[in-house]
Amino acid sequence: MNKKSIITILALFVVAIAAVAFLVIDGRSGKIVADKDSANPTAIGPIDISKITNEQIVSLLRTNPDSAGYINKYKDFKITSAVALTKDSIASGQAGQNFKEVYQDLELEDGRYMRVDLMNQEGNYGMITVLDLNTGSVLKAFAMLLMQAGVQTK
Amino acid sequence: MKKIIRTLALIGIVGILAIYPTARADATWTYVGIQVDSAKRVSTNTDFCLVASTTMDVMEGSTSLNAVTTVDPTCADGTGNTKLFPALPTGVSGKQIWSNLVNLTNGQQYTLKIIAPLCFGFWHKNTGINNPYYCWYRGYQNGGTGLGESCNQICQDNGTTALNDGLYCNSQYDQGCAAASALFGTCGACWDGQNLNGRRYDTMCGNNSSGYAGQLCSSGDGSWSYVCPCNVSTGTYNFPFTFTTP
Repeated sequence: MNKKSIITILALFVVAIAAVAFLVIDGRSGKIVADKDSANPTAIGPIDISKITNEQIVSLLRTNPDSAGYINKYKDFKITSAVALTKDSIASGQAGQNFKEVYQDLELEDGRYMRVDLMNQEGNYGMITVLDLNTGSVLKAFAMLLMQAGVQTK
Repeated sequence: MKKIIRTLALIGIVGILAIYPTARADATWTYVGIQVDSAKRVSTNTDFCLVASTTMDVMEGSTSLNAVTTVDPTCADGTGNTKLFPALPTGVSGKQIWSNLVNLTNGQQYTLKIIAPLCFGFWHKNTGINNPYYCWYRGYQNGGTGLGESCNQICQDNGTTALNDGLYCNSQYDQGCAAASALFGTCGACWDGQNLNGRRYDTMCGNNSSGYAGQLCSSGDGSWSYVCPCNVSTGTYNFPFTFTTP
C-alpha cells in the first residue's frame, strides 16, 4: 500500500468518525428548545383530557426532546398552568397580543389540546408547551425567560 | 512516515470532536418577559404608568430582533388609568409584559428594551379631537394643593405643555370626571355641569379644594385646584434590561 492510499483511507476514516460524532452529539443534545413548532417524533397515544394527571403530563413532556431537556435541567420545575383549550380559547389566542405562536396552526377543536406552562423554582425560566391529547404528543415547546424589575425616571 | 500520518490523523479526529460542539451554537425560540414591580418618578416620588403605545423589543447589541410588542397600558392593578403601581396585596406582583417570539442563541447576552412615552398622571386616549393621546395632571406640585395654578403652570410642572384647542384650554370633557376621580380620589359625585367659566367637575372633596374648572390655559382660580389635559412629551424613555440566555 503506497502513501497516497494510506492518506486517502485515513481521510475517509476521519470523515466517517466526524459523521458519527455529529450524529451522536446532535442526538443527545437535549437542548431546552431547538425548533419552532417542532413536531414530536414520539407519541404515547390518546389521553382523556378530563382525566389527565400531572404525572401523565410529565410523562408526555418526557417524550419530546425539548421539553425533556428542560425537565432534566430544571428538576425543580413546577407546572404553573395546565389548561384544556377550546375552540374559543384557540381563536382568541390566535388573535391575541401575546403568545400567538402557541395557538397558530391548531385545529379549532374543543378538548383536543392542552397548554401546559412550566416554570423553574427561581421563577425566571420556563416553558410553554402545547400537548395534543388525541395523539398523545407534544406539539410545541417554547422557552420563557422572565425578568423582574422596576423602572424609574428623574 | 506511517507514525506521522497516524499522529496527524489522531490530532484531526480529536480536533473535530473538540471543536464541533462549541462551534455549533444552539438557538432557542423564546418569549422574553419582564415583571414590572414599580415605576417611579424620582423627583416627585410618585408612581407612573406604562401607557398605551409603549413598545418593547429585544436587542442584540444595537440591532433590533424585531420582537416588538405593543404594551397594553400597564399598571400594577391591571388598569390603564388609575394611579400606577400602588402598594400591592401580599404575594401580588406587577404585571408581566412579554415580547414576541424570538430566536435567541444560548449563552449570549441580549437587552430587553421598553420604549415608553410617559404620563405621570391620568392617561387619556382621545377619540379624535386634536391630539390622539394626552395626559391629565392636577396642580399639586411641590407638596402643595395646587390651588389657583393655571393649566399652563400645571403642565409645565410636568415637563410638557397645556393642550389648547384654540378656544378653551381644557375642553376635553369626555373624561374630565374620570380624570378628576383618578387624580383627586373618588371622594364624591362628579358634577360635570357647565358654568360660565367652562366646565367644572366638583368631586366634592371639601371646600372646593379639589375639582376642575377653567377656560384659558393661563387662568387660575384661587378657590380651585384644576385638572388639566396636557400634551404627552414628544420624547420617549428607554428602559433597558440586559440578560444572558441559559
